[in-house]
Amino acid sequence: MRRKNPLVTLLEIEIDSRYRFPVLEIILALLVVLSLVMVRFQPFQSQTPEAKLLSLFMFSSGLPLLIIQLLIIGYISSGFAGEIEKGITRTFLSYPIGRGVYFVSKLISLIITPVLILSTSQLIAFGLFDVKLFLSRITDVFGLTLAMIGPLILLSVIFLLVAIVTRKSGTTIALSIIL
Amino acid sequence: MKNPVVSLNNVTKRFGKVVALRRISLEIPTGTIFGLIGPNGAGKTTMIKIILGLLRPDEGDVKLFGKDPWDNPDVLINVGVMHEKPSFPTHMTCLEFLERVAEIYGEGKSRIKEVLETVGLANSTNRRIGALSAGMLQRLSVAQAMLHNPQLIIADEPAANLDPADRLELLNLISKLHHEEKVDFLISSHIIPELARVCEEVAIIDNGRIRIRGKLSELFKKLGPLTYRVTVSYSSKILDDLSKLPYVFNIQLEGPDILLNIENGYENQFYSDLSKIADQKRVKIIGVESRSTTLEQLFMRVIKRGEMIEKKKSISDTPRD
Repeated sequence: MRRKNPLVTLLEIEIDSRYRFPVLEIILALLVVLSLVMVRFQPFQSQTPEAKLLSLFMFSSGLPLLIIQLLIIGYISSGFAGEIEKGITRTFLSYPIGRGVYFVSKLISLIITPVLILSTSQLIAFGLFDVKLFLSRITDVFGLTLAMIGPLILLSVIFLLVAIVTRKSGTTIALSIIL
Repeated sequence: MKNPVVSLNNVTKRFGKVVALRRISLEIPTGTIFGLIGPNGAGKTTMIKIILGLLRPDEGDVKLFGKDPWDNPDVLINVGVMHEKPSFPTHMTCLEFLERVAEIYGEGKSRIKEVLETVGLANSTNRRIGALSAGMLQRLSVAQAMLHNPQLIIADEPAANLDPADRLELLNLISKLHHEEKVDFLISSHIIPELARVCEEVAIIDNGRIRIRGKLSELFKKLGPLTYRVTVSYSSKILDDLSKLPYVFNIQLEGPDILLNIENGYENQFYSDLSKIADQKRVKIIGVESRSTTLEQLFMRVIKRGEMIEKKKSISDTPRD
């Protein structure tokens, strides 16, 4: 039997472990539903399209962003620092898997996947809000999304570095929240 | 040595100010069960981590099947590993986990059933790893280590969490794998009787240094028998004096007799000192009998000798005013 790409196997294990409970799907659904509820408010309706877009952006970069941020902290502390602490990382690195491949699998599952889900859900929310506005201001919409996820990625990478240095899940959570 | 499976050349590893391994050179030949014996904190696990490429030595070279394991993780395809405290993803079942491991090694699913039966986990295939007992976890550790028919299995304290029955079973399995499937083993342990049962060669490691290595039979020949049973008219009278002799260790009373070990090369001096002490204390020597050495005694002797050498070295290194 041919060896399967270790990155694929690791990602399957990660996704199975991290996303077994549909936290991100629930956040996505909430974001979409709340966006639709918000657009029905009278003060919102009276705004210019640009102001509406900005309001929607401000809304989605508030609570959902905070939830995703906390979720990433949880993932990094349990899925990275916690696994080093428990010895699961040592187990996987004792298989013919390179350290780089292992790290990439963690990066994808702990940071890139939640960020992608958040940005996709935001784009879907913008689209549902007003398709015409979405299409006419597509550059602005993507710009706003990037402006939202940029700091999120930066902070997440800092949390990951904290986890690499401390290698303790509790310390990682504490330091990340302080940061 | 012809194509050693593992070769370490002047390997040193430091953790801050602590030197875990000091210029270790060791070759582990093919076709053997090699035991790495040492007390807790001797450097066994560090050495195993370096052999597996989990740690990088500060100095020296490591070769696993002729390749540096740090730069060539693919060399681990020939190796099965049992860590001291087995740790696997707890949300998976035994079967799910072994299926993933089989994918990494390119092994067929039929082999999973085979190994689960061999290690006695056939009835627990769908149990979550998080719900397994320590003994069952150790069995799973054996299963994942032998799943891909490796040439070498590296086991760090494999029997540490097992009860006596499971321990015996594991040792029998190791013996069977070695003799029937020609799997080589590198086993580290501080539980010496378990190593004495299965190992053909051993290295004794202490304080980051290999104190001695060789085939068990040769080591016993070289260092034993230096266990003595001394029968005297009043044993407790001379016990203290004997224990003060620098080359005597493991001294204890056994009924009316005194059991003790002495350093190799001190046999004549021991007889002379024993006579002197007996004369001084007015005790009659009834008999002195030498006994065969166990691996445990051999280990204690090597450790003691290492301590003596280090003590002498530190005295000679001390600057004189």
